[in-house]
Amino acid sequence: MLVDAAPPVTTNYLLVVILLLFVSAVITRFLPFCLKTFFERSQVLRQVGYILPSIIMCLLIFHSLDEVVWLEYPYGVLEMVTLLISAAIYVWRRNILLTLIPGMAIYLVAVNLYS
Amino acid sequence: MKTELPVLKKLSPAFTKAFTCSVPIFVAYFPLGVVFGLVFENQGYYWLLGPVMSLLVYGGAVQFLALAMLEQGEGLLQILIACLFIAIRNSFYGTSFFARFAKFSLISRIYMIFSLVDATYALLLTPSAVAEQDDEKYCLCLAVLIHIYWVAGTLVGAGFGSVIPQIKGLQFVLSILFVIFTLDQYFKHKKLWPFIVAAISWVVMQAVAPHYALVGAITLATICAVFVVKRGQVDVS
Repeated sequence: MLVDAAPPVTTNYLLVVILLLFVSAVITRFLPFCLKTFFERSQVLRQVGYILPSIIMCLLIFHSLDEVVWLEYPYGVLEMVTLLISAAIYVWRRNILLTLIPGMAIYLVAVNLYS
Repeated sequence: MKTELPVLKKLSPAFTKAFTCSVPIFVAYFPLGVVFGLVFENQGYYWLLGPVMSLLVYGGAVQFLALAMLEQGEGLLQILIACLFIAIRNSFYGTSFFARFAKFSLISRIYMIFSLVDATYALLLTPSAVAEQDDEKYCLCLAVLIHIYWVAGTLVGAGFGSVIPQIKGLQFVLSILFVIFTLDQYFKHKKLWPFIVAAISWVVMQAVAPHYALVGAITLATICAVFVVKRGQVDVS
């Protein structure tokens, strides 16, 4: 296996890392706009693009719950219950603040006082 | 959200709206930035480079991964490849804003594309109720504010992290926000299959490659969506 000799992390080395990661951020974020005409020409891709936000938003929920351990006690019950209550409030009132405040209140109290 | 503070009335409606919408993101991104700054400083690096990294790299997952890999003495190439796998999900975000950003001036278009992170992407997709001609200003204010929260959090964490009390669980505001935005998507399209496809893709990718579950699941779900669309089960209005 190829193993790089890892240099000690000096300020200059860190600067190189930061700049390379900056370049990779720029490339990944500008990539779709470089391929814009390709996306817009395809009927199928346009339709997929239309539905993609639904998919990504749903995946971001799962991603944001990454640290929850689902298969061991307490099985993420607190997270599930809080999210279900929040969802119910949002469906009922359609107001973001009214949804966030009780949801966060329940969660913060439970996490900081009872665990 | 209707929070009309008297102070905010003097400012433009686009900024006011962007600011109120961005408050929940502040709750999540600022403390996360503080934690990042703390870890950064604890690894013994020159503290000002922390905020510089947050400003230029601007991606929580990538930045934390890079720190962990630096600490383990991984080489430059390994760090770069691993981070690219995390960052590639941003490539999917841009596809939702072709038409919207095309109306912006060149400078704001470039900045908007660069600053399209998870929270910005999600907030920009919710209806803003800002006048059409104010949209560019609204988008810019929102993106800049979120960027500032992240950099400022890092600055505070790297500079004075040890005196800041830590509150557990603030990140959960993002989970609730994403649930809200997912519901918005459902109200808009009235379609369940994208969520089912997303959930299945997530479970599959958790089993196959848990470290890259998000980008893997987005890719897998997109491929599935192409097949669903090709079979003509979607009517796009």
